[in-house]
Amino acid sequence: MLEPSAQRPDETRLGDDEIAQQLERIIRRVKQSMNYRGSYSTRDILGSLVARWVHSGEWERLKQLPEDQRHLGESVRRFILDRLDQLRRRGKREDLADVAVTLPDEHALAELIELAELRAWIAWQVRQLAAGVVDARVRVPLAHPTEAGEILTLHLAGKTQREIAAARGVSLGLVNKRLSEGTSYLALLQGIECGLL
Amino acid sequence: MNDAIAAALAELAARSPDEWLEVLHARFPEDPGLVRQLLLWQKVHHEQAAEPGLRDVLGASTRYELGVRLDAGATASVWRAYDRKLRRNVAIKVFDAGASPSSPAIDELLAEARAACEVASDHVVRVLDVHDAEPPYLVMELIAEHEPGNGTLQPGASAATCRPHDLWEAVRWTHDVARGVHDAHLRNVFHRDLKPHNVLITPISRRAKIADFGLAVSSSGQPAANARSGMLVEVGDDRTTMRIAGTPGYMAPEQARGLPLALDPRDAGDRGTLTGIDVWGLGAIAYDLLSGHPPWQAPDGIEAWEIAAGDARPIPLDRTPRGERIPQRLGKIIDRALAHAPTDRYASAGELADELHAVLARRPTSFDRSLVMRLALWSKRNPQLTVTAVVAVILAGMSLAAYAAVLHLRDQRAGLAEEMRAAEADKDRFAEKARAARRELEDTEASLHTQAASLRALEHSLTEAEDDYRAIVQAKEQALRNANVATRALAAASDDRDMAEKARDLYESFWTRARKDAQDAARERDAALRERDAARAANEQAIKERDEARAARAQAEHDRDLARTERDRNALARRQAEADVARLIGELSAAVGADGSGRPAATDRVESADPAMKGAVH
Repeated sequence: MLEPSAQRPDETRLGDDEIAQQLERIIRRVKQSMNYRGSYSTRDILGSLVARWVHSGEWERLKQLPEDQRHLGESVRRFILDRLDQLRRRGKREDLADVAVTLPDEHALAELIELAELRAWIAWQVRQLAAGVVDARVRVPLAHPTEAGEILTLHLAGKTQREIAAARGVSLGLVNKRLSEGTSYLALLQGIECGLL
Repeated sequence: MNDAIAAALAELAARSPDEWLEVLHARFPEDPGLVRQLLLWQKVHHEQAAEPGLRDVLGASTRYELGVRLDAGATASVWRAYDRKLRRNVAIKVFDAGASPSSPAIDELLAEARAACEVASDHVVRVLDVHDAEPPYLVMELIAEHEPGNGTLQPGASAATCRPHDLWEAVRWTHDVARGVHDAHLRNVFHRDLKPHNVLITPISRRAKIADFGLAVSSSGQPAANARSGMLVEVGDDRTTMRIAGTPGYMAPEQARGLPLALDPRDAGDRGTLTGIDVWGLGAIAYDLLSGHPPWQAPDGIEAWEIAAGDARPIPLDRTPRGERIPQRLGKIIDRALAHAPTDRYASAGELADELHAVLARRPTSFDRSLVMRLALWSKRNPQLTVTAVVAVILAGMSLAAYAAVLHLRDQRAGLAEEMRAAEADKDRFAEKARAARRELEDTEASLHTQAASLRALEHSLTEAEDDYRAIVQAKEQALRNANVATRALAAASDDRDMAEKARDLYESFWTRARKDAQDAARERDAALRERDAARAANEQAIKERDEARAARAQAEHDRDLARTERDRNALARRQAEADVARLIGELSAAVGADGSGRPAATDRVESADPAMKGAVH
């Protein structure tokens, strides 16, 4: 999740263009996080490991430290090495002995962490939506929040739109519409969380 | 307020994006927060639902007319389109230009297109064209068929959506895909992302075709296909870049643990690795189509690729979700395709296809070595021949049995003739014997009749004797009852008088003796009866005597009464006499007193006067 305090713009100084750029970025990140991830690339694998690192609470601890003392790369690297070591011990990958993993730079790692947080935040919001809970700060009315939440849940679980339509016995058009409404809602809520709206 | 927002969104949908801000400021001049929310909402909705930019770009190409969106993935969406130049329906895979930098996306697109184009197979979706400028897109054969009824074109779907109708359809699809993969391998193209989602099924004939060579490795497209960023793994001084790519639920174990970036299909070692990954992918497709879920399923807190990277094995197959039992020979094939070690898997996709074809054609697989299994499969494969052979065997058996039966019958007939002759001789002998026996029988019967008559007479006599005996017994019992009655009568009579008692005692003693003797002979009973009669006579005599005695007693009593009366009269007379005597004595005394001598004279005079009175006085 984007950090509201860090990214809250000074509206007196930010112009419409800058806000529009921020909103564009939010939209892109929300859509990217929600995309059906059928085939994993190494980046997805890294993303899943970083998400687990965030879930471990280490990121919450590091966030309490000043930015120059966080050393994200070292912490994430240690976590990933531990995880790979566990896999190596479970499997029979003897040739991975004494390997050293070179991770992306701090900036890329921060982006992965941000995406992992955003993914967790989206999953939580989608669960809320499926339960019929709509955030009161969103002023654009959502016609069928529960249905949108349930379809988004299936979408996040990796189901394609055709599979969702087949599973729920609805048309592909309706699935697309609910996905669109749900994505708009999440992007809007993310903009509110970031203080842009 | 909701109506105003809905009206504003409806107006925005009708306007171009450039006019949105102006429209919103005009509608909600005092509420910039709502304006921003509506602007963002409309922008996301617009991009997500309509994709007008893509429509415009493709429309400008004048060749392809974009139709409906068939599916959407992480980096691309697939659309149905119409090729105006060649007047045919096609599928267009449009890559999301906003999601990734254009240059790598186009490189990957070209690599995928070249990899797919290198493969000429009925089981691979053909790539028809590629657009290597923004937005990058790929034109492919549209998996669709015309409805036989109305002729409308119906698009196909992936095997993940359009599930197999039964077990055999799943095997047939896997076989088709294995053939396509083998064809690709022959052209040095390796898919590396085989899963039901990348298998397209034609809607009517339900044939399977492989699509999406996005992760494929080919000899021509090698640098581009492997250009994706990878996890760097340093081994010692050598710096080797490893890469993990694929779909977590369907990854081969070695794929999940990472593979070198540079895999050359022309190198024997790398080729073996790549073949092993695709064979695993084919096994994973079969596993998913049969079980309804991928080989690797992620429980909470762990990712599927992590399970794949371990030494876990997929859950063994037993039944399909519809409850069909998965044949053991098919399970063995899938197990071998999903073997943990690549060397334990099939050496090629073609070998796996042959095995699946053998299963479909009911031919022996590499696991079916026993003669019984081969014979069973042959009979399943050739049911008519089997039936014919079985019928022929049965007929031959029946013929042999019939011939043997005929021979046996002949022997039996000869034996019977011999026996018949012997029987004829026996028959005459036995007839003579029978006649003699009949005569004896007649004599015996006559004798028996006689004996029977005698028996009947005897029986009759016996019956009569029995009747007599019963009569005697009844008479005896009656006599006994009578005797008892008489005894009781005698006993009663003996109570009255001493004589009767004597008679009864006599009778009882006699009867007691008679009862003792009655067990020996009936004649004694007659004697007893006679004695009883005598006793009765005696009794009667006694009664008579008693009556006489009673009469005598009555007479005596009468006499006694008379005597008493006489006595009373005598007493009275005596008392009269005594009174007279007394009076006389008085007179005498008085007389004596008068003459002086007196008393002795008076006494003498009384005694001399009346002797009867004298006795009365005494």
